[in-house]
Amino acid sequence: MKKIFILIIILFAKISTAETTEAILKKIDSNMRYKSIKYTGIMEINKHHRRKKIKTFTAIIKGTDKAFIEFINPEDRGTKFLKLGDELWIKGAFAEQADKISGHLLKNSLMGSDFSYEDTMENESLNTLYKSKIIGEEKINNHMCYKLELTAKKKKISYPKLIIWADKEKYIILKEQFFALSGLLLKEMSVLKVKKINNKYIPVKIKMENKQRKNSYTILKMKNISVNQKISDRVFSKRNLEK
Amino acid sequence: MKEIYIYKMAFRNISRNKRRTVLSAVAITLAVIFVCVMKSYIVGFNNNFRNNLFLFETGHIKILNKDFIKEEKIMPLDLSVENYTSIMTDIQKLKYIKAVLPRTKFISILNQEGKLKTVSGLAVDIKKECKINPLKTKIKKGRLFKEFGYKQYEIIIGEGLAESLNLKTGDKITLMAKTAEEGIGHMTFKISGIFSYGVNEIDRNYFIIPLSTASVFLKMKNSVGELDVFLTNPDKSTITAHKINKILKKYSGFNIYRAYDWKEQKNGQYYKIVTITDKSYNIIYVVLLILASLVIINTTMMVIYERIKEIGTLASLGMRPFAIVKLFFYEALIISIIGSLAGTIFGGILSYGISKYGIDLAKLGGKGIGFQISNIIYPYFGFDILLFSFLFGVVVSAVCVFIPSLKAARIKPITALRNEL
Repeated sequence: MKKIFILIIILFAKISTAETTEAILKKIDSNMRYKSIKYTGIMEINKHHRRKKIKTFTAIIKGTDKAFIEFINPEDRGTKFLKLGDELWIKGAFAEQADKISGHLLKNSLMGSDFSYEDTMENESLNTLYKSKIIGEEKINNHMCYKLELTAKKKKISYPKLIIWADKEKYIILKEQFFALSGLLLKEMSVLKVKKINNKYIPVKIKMENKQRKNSYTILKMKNISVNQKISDRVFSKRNLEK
Repeated sequence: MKEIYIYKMAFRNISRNKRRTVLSAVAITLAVIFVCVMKSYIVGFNNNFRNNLFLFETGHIKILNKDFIKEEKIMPLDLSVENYTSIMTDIQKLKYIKAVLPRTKFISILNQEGKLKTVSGLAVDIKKECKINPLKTKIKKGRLFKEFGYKQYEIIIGEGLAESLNLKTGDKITLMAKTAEEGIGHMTFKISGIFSYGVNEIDRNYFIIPLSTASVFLKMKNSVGELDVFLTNPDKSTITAHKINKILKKYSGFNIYRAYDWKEQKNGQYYKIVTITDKSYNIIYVVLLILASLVIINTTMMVIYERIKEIGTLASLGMRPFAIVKLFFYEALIISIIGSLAGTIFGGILSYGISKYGIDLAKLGGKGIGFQISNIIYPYFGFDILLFSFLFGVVVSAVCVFIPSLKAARIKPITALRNEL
């Protein structure tokens, strides 16, 4: 009798944990999704033995499958990207037409940064892509966080394994590690600053480190942020891109 | 016996049996023609390989950013040679410098009807480039690009590349490349011309743009990927590289440059390939020389052994063995001089002709040659080869007559008359 009772308690605890994990991810996903967001991004790209490079861009994002990015720093002025669903298009200042970036090129770095094109394109919720389990709790920058291990449900995913540290109060990812299928740590993202805008917590300063290269990291700062504004679909068109 | 009588006898013997004399002379002529033509081809082949390697890959010396070598596979354009014009000015004062060519090599992506193709690009300063590179004469269709194309940026592409992509002059292509600022260069070009060097590696994979266009496309305003140095005497590459490195020391700071002798580039692999190729062909040539020698030796020995009775007659008449050997030696010498001269003349004419028209290896091989070897090889025509071929024919046939004639001269006259050995 005692044994049956213990089994029931263990089973109940497991079911509770599973629900809690999914619920955590649901809350994180809900926090990371906006109807729309507009901001000015400044990327500081640091590489071992190279000069620091600064790239500035304006970003307009609607939902999770439409984005328009235009670089405005002098060296890259006129370079524009358009994301529509799973497609990514580029148009340079001296090109007469836009070109689609696809296949293995999506794994390349975005303008020399430690973010890849795929990193910018990921639009599905974490719950859809990954199975998750809580593996602990840790403090990140004085914030108590859930530590979750995420394993990909599908084969063709950029990062088959993730470990995320999510703020227990705000349900925002403060740290994230990206792993290859072999278990090799590829990148690590740290949120350095968070701002509350329109009742949403938005990471406004992020550091992405390439763990496979010595002293290689990119800091992305977001300024002039406006969230959930009305944006015309005409912005996210090839015609606008090729203007 | 007086020398003059032996000479007279030798001349008489030669004209006595014309068929035998002609046979010997023809054998020597053919051997000399073979030696002459093969040497021309081998030297031409090796020269072609070396020249293409220097022109397209290594220069005699290459100046690079030191950190570029560590990441060479990805061709990082931000690790470039900056302020290259002042470096060029300093280097050009050195002895043996023929030309310093600023160049940038890069990888580009062409999107053609949804298919992505990787193509190799080369940006050049056409005025300086033409001191060494016969690019202007290699334009088969259209014309060379115009520089500073503010209305339309122009490009020339390799013939093989144009064929594989179904492109022609006047067409437009849009290329993507990683810039020196680690951004993406994205530019539309108009094909002004199609070039063909006759080197598959280049014609199938490369396009060429002016450095002025590359400065916009790749964001390289005052920098280039490399400086390729060409010398009046390539054998001085090591000493000159050392001198250039002394000059480069003053260009320090964030970027540090180094001059690499062609022998040390790619960890010495090019040097090894060139050396192995040279040695392999020299071995092949030695084998060919031995074969040619065997023809001469065989013919000469055959001639002597069929005259054993004659030797016996001479010996029985009191001619000393050494005089007999001298007689045959002079005969062989006269025939070899005639044969070698004929062989040298015909071999020279043949070599000269082939050196003008070339040997199309691509047609012989079916597909085309890879690496830095031209499809058409132009054998080398030189008087040094003619002289060598002539001396080869004379020396081999004169020397190889000694042993059989010495052997024959030592036989007892009675045995010789019975034609027994």
